[in-house]
Amino acid sequence: MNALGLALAELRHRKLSALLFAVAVAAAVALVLLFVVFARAGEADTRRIQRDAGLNLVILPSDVALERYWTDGFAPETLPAAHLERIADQDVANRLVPILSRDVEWGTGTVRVTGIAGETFKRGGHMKPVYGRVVEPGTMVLGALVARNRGLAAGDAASLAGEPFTVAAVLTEKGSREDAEVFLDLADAQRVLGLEGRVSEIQALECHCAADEIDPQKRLSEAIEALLPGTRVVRRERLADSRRRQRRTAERYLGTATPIVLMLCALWIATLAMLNVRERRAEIGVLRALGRSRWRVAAIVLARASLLGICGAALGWAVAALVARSVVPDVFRFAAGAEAVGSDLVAFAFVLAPVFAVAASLVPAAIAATQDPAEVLRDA
Amino acid sequence: MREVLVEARGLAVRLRGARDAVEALGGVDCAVGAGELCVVRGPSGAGKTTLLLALGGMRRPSEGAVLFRGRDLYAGPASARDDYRARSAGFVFQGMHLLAYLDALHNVVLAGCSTEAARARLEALGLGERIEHRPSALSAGERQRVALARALVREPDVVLADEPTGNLDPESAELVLAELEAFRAGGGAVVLATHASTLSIEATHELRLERGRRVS
Repeated sequence: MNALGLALAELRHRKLSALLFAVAVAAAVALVLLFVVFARAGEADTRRIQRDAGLNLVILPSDVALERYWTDGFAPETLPAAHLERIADQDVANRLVPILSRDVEWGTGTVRVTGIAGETFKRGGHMKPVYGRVVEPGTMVLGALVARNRGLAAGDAASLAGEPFTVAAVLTEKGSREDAEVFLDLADAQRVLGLEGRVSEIQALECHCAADEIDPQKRLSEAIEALLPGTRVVRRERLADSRRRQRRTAERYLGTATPIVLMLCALWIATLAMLNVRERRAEIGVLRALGRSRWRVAAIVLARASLLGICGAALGWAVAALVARSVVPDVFRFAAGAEAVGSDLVAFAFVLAPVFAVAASLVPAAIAATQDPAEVLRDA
Repeated sequence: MREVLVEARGLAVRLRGARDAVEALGGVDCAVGAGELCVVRGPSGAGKTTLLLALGGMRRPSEGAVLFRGRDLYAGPASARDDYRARSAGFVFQGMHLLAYLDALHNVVLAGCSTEAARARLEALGLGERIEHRPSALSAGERQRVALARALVREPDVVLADEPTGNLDPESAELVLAELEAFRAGGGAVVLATHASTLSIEATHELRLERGRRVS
């Protein structure tokens, strides 16, 4: 009777011990499979969001001093507002937002005047404004500090650069630059600032990217700059980047937790294998008395582990498939199809699980092999 | 001419105790030849089991030597002793040590023989009807006969039997001893350890141990 036959017979006899062992392997297998499935689903989700959300680009005058743009928060040079119409026909971005910003003296100090077009733009579509609020012509929306320092409140009349306005709203204090800003309709801002027909930048939000495009910025920049000579395109933070960072953070957590859980599973398996070896001391002694070598005794323990490793792989795969199918669609909105535990993962599990179970059983197998049969048979 | 199969020469075994070494055997000599049956007597703790384990290649002597067919068992590698136990020596224990999850047939097959040989041996021992029974379904006497079949099935040169009738009723004990006697009569060597003062088997020679020393 070979090691495998003996292991099979023993497994049928000690069902609970075998089941606990297989469950430990299954837990390890399910964890690894779910980790991979979640990572793949997260990747698919991020790609889809990236495709939908796209890049956020800013179209600036080509001679802009970028250092100054980033420090001041606006470009001192300007673009023709008509550029907007020229790229509106192109399938470049979901939203185009023309903005004109300047710092001006107003009463007690300096404020940032920002004119935004009264509507966001997407040809053929109706979307919510990205900035949440549309400033009507003849009105102004004030940052909290601007209103407080000038004693203004919603409904008050105010004059800026000789132009009359009504305060439509005062923003709540945010602790940011916005507290010192005055938001106007773009045309009003152009008139107040003496820059009719000009904008300081056009924000091209949610630029269209292919799903598998790793870095579409170069392609989009070239396309826009070809359409609008005298401009340059810079990239702004994008939603997909945030999502990717979020996913990577989650992966880091999983990446840290998985080895710990795997180690616990390995300890659990080793403990169960050790208990099994202890339970079979007399049996091992008899086998040694019958002339089985140490290696063959160890082989019995390892054959048992590999058999249970295969059972654990099947069980772990089933659990992982079930969990993935029920959880992934809820967690990852756009990962259709990614919830499947693919055949590559199944093959991986069926190869790795027995190896894992055998590795965790090496120490018990070594103990079984080096057990002194004389001691065992004397005690038994 | 007498052919000595297994022999102990000045055999001493010291076991490591909690504080110091315990002398389990001290300078024991014995030799068992083909067709001989040596009964080792003595009270519990006399060193009978240690002697059998040493003769079986499972307890390395602290001093002296164990020879099988004139060759020192412990001078060679462990694999040689494994081979000796697999081919030349059969063990029978008081506790039988059958594997609970194997039926009688496969407990005998465990010795490394074919199922046909195992079946034949079990039938010869009157267990033809019990071949597919697991140890839990067998009586103590039947279990010991299965253990005996396992020890004899590969037709070893030596059988080392440690209290083989210790847990048996007289009728079963008779059967087991008769089998050992038949093995001896067939040219095998038997070393039988017992603490019983009387045993219904004719020994060719007898060894008495007390506190690890041969007293007769």
